[in-house]
Amino acid sequence: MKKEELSKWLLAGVLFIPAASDPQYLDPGSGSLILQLIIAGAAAVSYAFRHSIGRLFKVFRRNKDEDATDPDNEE
Amino acid sequence: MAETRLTEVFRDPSGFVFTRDGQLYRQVNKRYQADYDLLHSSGLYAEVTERSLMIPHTEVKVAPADPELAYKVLQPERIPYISYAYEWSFSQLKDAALLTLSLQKRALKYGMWLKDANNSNIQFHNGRPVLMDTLSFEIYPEGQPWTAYRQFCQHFLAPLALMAHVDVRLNQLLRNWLDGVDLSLASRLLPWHTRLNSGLLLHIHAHAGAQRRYAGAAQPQAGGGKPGLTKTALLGLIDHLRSTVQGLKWKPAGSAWGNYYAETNYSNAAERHKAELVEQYLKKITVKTVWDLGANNGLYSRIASRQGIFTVSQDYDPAAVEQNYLQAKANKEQNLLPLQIDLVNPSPASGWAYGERHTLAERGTPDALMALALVHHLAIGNNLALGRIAEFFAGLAPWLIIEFVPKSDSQTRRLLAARKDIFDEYTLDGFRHAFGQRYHIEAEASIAESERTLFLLKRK
Repeated sequence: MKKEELSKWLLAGVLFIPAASDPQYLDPGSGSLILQLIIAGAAAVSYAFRHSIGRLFKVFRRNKDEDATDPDNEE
Repeated sequence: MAETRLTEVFRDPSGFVFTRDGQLYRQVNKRYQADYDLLHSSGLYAEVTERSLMIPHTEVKVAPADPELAYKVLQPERIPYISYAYEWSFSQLKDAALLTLSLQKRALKYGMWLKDANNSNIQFHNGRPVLMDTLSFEIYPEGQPWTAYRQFCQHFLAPLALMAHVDVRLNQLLRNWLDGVDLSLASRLLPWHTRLNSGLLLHIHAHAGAQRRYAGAAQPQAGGGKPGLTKTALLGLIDHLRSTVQGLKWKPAGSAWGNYYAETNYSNAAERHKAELVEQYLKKITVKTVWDLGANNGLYSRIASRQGIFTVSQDYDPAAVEQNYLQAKANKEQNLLPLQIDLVNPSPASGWAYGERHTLAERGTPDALMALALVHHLAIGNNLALGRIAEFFAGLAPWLIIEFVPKSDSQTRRLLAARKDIFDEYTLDGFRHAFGQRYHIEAEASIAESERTLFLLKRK
């Protein structure tokens, strides 16, 4: 697929994004939105993997290499 | 009735901060009503405030500053001293970044998210980073990519990557670019090998490329189709950002100041005596806030903070501030705020109408200053006349604890080693005369086993 076609498809994907409750005051940047869509699949798989398989090892991992002061580790 | 609208957050139409008669308030506008109500009803507000991740507030019955727009007026808990990202050490910025991601992840559990990820939304309070901007949370629009993704990368990830992989002093880029480091600049400055790091490859290099590639593309319009980015994918993105930030490390090394106390010319007795004198002077004056200027790793700042005095511990050296912060964090010190400040070129007012960032003094001045082993650096190292130094200090605080380091001291001799001594006024008498124009000498003592003198001065 040519680069131009790819970007057209990606932009079309962005156009299907649901509306936010309030018009955004921040410009998210088209490139930033498109990049998120490109990596969405991998990010979802990675998250699902980490939080299903990874949970089994959580007890061991926490004691080893997680930063105890990271707010995410204080649950 | 003195009222001022603060402009740090003027870009967000959801509300704004204002002061009235010395009290700080936040007006919540009607357009933020649904988000505000969900923040409370969902339990998110309770979770993030109970865990000290966000500044708590109380709803107050005071007249809004802009009644036509107002939904509520809040009174947030006051933060004793506002600081900015370019005044933070590497680990302070890293902890602020991790907090932002943690808040984003927690918010999603309650059907909300962070609509912005500005580093100025984070402050250090009671020794740890907290979200200051209550209005940052909004109802999560399921399926939408994170609108603050670029901002997070510019405000946190890019400067952290540059500090870790190029030079820790590049945090000063944030002083110039209040909206963060442009990703194309970060990508150009980072060494090639950072492309082998999946996080930096994606969130900096590819991100910069995507911005370049789609710079002219139309802004996405709202539609009702299939989700663009599932919640699971969004959580995956946050996790990936988090592991990327976690992976960035910087260890103080090679600093001329990092090991100052190990290299000092003090004997143990001199150090003990100096600490005793500082403690005595602090007890003599009843103060609530102190700035320790040239604090190095905060050894003497802690004499104040341990007495319950809120102490801003400033130094220009990134390694010293990093050590100071890591120690404060490890010991859960609540009254100490380490900041990287170059006293001869302190943080300026900047941003729109000079109102988005404030000078050191505009953010509040202390009751007392401590300037220990500093005056020779200012007078000899920076060619500042003693009278000018006294004038500057007197403009900041009514009390001053200051150490005079004579030319015969080895630390001063080191400053003079490679230059001509043009500092005729730099003597103990010259010091007394210059500072005597602005201050009364309340106490004066020679530090044991040294040639130094410690003064307690009261502003005239």
